Amino acid sequence: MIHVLATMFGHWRRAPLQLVLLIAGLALATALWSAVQAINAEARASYERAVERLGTGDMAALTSPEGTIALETYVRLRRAGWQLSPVLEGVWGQGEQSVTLLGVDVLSYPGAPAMAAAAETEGNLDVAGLLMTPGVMFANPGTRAKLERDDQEAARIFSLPDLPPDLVLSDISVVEALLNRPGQLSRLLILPDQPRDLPPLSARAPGLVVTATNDGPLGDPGRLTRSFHLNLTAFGFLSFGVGLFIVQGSIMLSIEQRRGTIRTLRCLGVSVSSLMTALLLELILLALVAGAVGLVVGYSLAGLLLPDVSATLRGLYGAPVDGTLSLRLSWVLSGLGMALAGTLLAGLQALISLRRLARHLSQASYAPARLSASQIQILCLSGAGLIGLGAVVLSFGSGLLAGFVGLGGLMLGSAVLVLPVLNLLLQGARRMAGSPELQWLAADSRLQLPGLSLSLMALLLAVATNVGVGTMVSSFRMTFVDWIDQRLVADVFVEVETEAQAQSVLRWATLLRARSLPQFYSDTRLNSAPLRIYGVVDDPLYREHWPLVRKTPDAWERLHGGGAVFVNEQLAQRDGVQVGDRMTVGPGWSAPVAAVYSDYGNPDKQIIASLPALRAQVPSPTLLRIGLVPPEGMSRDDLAQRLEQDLDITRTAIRDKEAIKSLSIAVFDRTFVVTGALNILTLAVAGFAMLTSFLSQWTRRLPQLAPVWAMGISRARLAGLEFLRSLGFAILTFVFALPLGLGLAWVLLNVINLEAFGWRLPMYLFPGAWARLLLLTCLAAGLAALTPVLRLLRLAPAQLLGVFSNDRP
Amino acid sequence: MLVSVKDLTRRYAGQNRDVLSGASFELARGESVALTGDSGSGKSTVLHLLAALDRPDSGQILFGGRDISRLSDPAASELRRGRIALVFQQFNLVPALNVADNISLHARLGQQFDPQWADTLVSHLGLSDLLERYPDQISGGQQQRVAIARSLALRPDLLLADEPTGNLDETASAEVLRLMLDLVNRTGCALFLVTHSPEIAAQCDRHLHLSGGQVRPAGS
Repeated sequence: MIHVLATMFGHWRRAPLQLVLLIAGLALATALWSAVQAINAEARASYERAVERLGTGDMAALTSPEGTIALETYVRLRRAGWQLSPVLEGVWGQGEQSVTLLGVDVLSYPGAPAMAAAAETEGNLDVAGLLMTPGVMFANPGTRAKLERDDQEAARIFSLPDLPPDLVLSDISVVEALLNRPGQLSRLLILPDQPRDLPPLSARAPGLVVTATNDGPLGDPGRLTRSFHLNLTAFGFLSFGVGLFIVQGSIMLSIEQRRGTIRTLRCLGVSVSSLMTALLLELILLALVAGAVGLVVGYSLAGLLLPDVSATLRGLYGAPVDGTLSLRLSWVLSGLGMALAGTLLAGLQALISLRRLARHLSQASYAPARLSASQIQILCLSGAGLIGLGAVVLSFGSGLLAGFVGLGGLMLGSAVLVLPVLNLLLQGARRMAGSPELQWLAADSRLQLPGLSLSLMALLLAVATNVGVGTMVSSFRMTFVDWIDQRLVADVFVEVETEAQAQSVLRWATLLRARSLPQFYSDTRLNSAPLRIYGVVDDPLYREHWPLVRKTPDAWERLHGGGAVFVNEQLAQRDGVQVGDRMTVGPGWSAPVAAVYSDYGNPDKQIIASLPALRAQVPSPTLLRIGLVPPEGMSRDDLAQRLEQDLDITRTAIRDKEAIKSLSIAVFDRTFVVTGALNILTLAVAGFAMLTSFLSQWTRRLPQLAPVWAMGISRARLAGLEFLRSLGFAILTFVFALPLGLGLAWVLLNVINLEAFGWRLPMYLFPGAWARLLLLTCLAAGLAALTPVLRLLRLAPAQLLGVFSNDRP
Repeated sequence: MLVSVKDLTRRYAGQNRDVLSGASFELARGESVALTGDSGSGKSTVLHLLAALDRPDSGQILFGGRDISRLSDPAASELRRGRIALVFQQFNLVPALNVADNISLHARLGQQFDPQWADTLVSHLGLSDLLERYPDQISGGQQQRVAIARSLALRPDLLLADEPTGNLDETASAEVLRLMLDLVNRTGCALFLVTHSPEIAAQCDRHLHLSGGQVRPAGS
């Protein structure tokens, strides 16, 4: 066997470029897949670490629809034998300095050991010391640094690295005092070991409901970000699939080129099974080598992309993800496993081909096969079936998974249909072609279709994904820019630090006859998730500009006169709130919902109430920002300058609408850097797949080209036609991919986005972007065709004459 | 004289002897000439040089008085497109095209396609029922008849045939040769035929033999 393997492997010594292409293709496929998996694993580990540090795992909790649980209820349940751990949480501090305080019972809280360990390391305190020392708190180093500006607080904060950002953990008595909420509890964790024969909860605490703790302070980042990770996985899988097309092309080429070797080995008495075993071993060896290279590249790629992914996850979901990557054995093994499985899948046709070849030694060299009518029929039926299945799943299924499965059906079905559609188009082109050269080109292209099918499918998927994801991101961006224009109703915004400063700005604005829009708010929690409630003044600017997506006809009147509230889309989607419903805004505050407004880029729930309504519940709401509209005849810059001069406000505290808009758009753009990068990488892999297909076709091309050359089509002309063919395939594939990509965009905007973020976005068309993509596709196809074309140009006549040689095998 | 070959030499890279060393002969319009020789003697090389598919190391090939031995690829292609046709042992039909398109291809490339003449050829060669079929769907003998129809549809000045019956059985071989000579006579083109077979060579107007890189009349 070793001799057979060595002989078979000897091929690669004579074809080093081919070996490099094969390993590069497989490594690239593994790299993109592994990079995505590394990012996902890192993110998931971050979420898990955060949840584990809090020690609540998948524990259930008791919560009250009223928002708080009275201390007496807890005592009553404890006396009845229930093992519970009380938690009080709330928002502490103002504006960007605010943090979530989580007060727990240090003796019963499941995460207490981690707290005790940190206290012992940093402050030499044991659990008792933790209780005895007033005001000990725990936060991750970033949050701790943020709070260290106040030295008094910093002295009491210990570092607990895996806590999520902006969360401070402390004993419940400390939090009670800081939040000024004595005797109030947010929820009761139900501990795992409960005694038998407990009285039912409904009897002892009828108002409480059992919920999962993942509605707690982290809001279950794993669940929230599922769509994002699914999206990344889909991208990784797509790239992996496209990469496998490269591998398939290279392996098939190697079999074709080893025809003579195989024949000789068979004549020397090597059995078919020995040959197949040798090829299998060769595939395994190549998979392991390329997989290892792919893992190294994938790890580096993940390291490069992770900071952007981290920014996206924080920006869109508020989910905590470290920007650093750690190497996991499971990741290495799964990466190698994927490379191996993928290679074997891609090599399946080669194994079958080898078996056939080894059994029928006298078989002539590669005979090009047109698609038969039955093959076309099968492809059409399979494609239509997959598309139909996708459409059914999208129409009747619900949830993210159904969305992605539906999309998968549509895309795979279309990929299967690409062959019969191109076949039909080329058939028509042949009939319509005026010159015999073009007629030959069309007919010959039809003949090449089966050989190029996989790379054309890869190109179709890559182009459609580019169009779909590009349209989604650009539509989102356009909506976002439009939306931010609406949201920024004032021209200038002033950051104020104290109530007195705020009042002086408001007085100054009145004197100047500038319109002022103070942004009062209060941070609280709703169903254990962060909630910001804005109190707005009654100004026509809001009515004219505020982006309401669903509303009652008299929404603004009801807001300012009828005690109604507006909710953002995120809240409406997550809590199932509709316009016209009545909802609990806070303890003792319920209000009808008069409108739902779009609030892109905000991971949290938000409510707008009239300022008097907010003040009725929160007597001193926070006011850190005031919007100003200059009086007629005064420019934005003049207003800012007067503010600086008259009120001695620093320039950095004054921001105009355009500056805020630019900053927001910059943040938005950064959020989609990863998507853009993956888009380009997928297209690059598809281009690479085309290159390997063209190269693998090359050895079969000479017998097809030589007769035409002999009939008087020069080599230069043939090279030009080959290039034209490649561009033609790219353009036809693009034309087919465009509607598919738009379908993909529609599903992303109306199904996936809705499930993932809670907002539905309008779809815009971007012909300019399509033109750019078409150019890019042609460039990829042109580059892929360049090597065969150059070879053809430099081809010695002797090589073409070899085709006519009578002793040709 | 249609073709005048003078002192051709040709040596392939890596070989230590000339395949052709001073080969000379002539070919008149309407004449059929057979070239025989041992395997590897350079018969196909002569044919390729006459078709301007290859270039000699030295010597001259005058075609209608024009030296075609140093033509560039585009110029040589133009010549083949309009005036020279080839028939190979392997048939070398274009697999992507059906029989009808294969027959018309060369003539259309040379802008000399005459549908009536093509119909005559099709009917004379018994290809009427095969027009919609593809090369891999017909027999070897049928493929060679298609190759002959393709080459003659051009109405070339020179028809070059390289072992045109080498892949056919005896009956098919005789039939193909008969048809080819008959049609060559009708078109008035010159035929230069490379063959192993003295019997086939005997059916041509002249019989040349290639040996030691030189072309001489057979039997001389």
